[in-house]
Amino acid sequence: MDELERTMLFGKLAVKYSGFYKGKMRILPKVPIVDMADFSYWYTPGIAEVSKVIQKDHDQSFHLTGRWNTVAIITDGSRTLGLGNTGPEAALAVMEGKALLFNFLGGVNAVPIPINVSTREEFVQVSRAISPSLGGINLEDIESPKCFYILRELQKSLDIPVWHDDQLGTASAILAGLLNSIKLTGKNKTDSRIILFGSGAANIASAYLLEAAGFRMSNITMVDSKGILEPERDDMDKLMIKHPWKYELAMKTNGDRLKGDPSKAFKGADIVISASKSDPTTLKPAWIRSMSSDPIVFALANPDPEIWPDKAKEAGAHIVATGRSDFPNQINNSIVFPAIFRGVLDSRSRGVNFNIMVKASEAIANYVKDPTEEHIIPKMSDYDLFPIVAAEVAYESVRSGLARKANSREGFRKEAEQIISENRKSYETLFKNGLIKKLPGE
Amino acid sequence: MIVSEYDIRWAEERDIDSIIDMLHRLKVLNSEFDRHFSVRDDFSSEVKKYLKECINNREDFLILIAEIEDKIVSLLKIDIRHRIYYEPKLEARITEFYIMPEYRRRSLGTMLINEAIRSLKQRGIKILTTEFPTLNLIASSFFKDKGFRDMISILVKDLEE
Repeated sequence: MDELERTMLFGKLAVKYSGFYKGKMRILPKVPIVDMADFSYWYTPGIAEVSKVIQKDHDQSFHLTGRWNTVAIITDGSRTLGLGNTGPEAALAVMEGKALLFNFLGGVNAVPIPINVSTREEFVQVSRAISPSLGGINLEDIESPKCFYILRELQKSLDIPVWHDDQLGTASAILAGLLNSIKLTGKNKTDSRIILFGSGAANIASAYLLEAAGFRMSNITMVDSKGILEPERDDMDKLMIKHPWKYELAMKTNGDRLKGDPSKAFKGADIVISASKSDPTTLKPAWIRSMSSDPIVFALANPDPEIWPDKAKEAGAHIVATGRSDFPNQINNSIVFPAIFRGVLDSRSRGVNFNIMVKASEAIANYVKDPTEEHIIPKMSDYDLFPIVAAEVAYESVRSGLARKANSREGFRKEAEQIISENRKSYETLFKNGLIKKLPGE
Repeated sequence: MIVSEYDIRWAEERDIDSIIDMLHRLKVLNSEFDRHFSVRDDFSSEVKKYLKECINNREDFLILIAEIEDKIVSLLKIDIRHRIYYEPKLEARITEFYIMPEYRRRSLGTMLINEAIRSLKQRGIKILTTEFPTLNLIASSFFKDKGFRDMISILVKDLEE
């Protein structure tokens, strides 16, 4: 079965199963209800006292309600997967899938909330309005550059972690893979010359994360459809108005002030991270041949990478990573966001930042005990990865003064492990008892 | 005159090509704010003639440029307007102001404006105005920070469908 046939089959099954289960998540009680008298404290009259306590101290909502473990997955459906602007209703199916990953891998109660908004300001306003019930916000599938504005405004104005997974999750996974790649190739952070090929959400966030991890901005060269990004390019003023985040990088990166077509950026470069076009002819083998010795090539477009791994290897790539699970070294943000959120939720963090992300990426990289060319990054099925990374995240939240709740690294790890395993047990119990039905078959 | 790392001086004919490049960038930026600012195809040739006249007419035009290591990185053009209805009779109007992106946020704009003000004061000119597309909020904020305030509005109506 070729790739296209497999995609069609999965599509057919997804529609059939979605119709069978009618939604992927549900809400179940987590407190005992023996008879109606129990509602005297779960609801009125007793619950009024809980309200009064929270009214006096809003942080008590993290202690006395389920807020501490609740995350909203908010989207406007303006860039759903690779489908483009589908609108919020169509995005719901995808957000439910994301909620499932949040819950299964991280024990997080994630609620899909696609919203019908027409401006970025309205998006921010709606997200702020619902934030009192949330321990965190995961922004998802929002078009660029709107996503940068929304993330910045929400991070600035809310005292809960706000994450945009297409930017921050992907960047963290990239950094984790890169840390093991440079270890294997004997490269280092300060001298490595990096090409960020494609300047969408993930690569723009990657530039800032790489800098936070110790790589040099001046050694980064960004390339987009107009060529190498540099301050004298004709479109700089337009970028300043429409995309200040990319404009900023045009000023800070490319210390050599390279100009023109991408081939110039590749000469002597050590690393290329491509998050660009799903077309295996995008990255030319000649470009890779012109890189320094033992080049590292991350070709992350889905479904088809910008160059097939065997072609990249033939051209001299030492390490190749893609976004796909059927090749070695899948750069997958699903190994990041459940752990990041587990960590910030367990520390009741007021935010998330690049330093926290660096710690998460380091923990992910260190999880691979003996990295090889074919194994630079863990897989989603490495279940014990999540509490380890969550503990690093929670501990860094405490260290950076963002946490509302302190614990030791080991204490956070045990807590995360318990939450994830109890959640998994609840799920397995429902499944074993037929309350979650088996798949209906193809 | 040397100010900090930049050399700020009056523009000369030899600077015209660099000035045209900066003006082109400025006008392309303006086109982002309103479709009636779309740049003419014969921009370079027309502007070249006009600039030559302006550079050689220091009575009515003040064109300052900033150089760093022999590279022109900024332009400030001021037109001296004769007001027939009002006092004061002379008004200096900033019509073009551009700084190459890499040299922004280094107080170069402030230096240029201060240098222009010094020169205008020597000529006894008492008011300095500026014009730019209404939607250019960055320019608006820059000039308001420098003490400029709203004085006149220009509205547009399309006469063709």
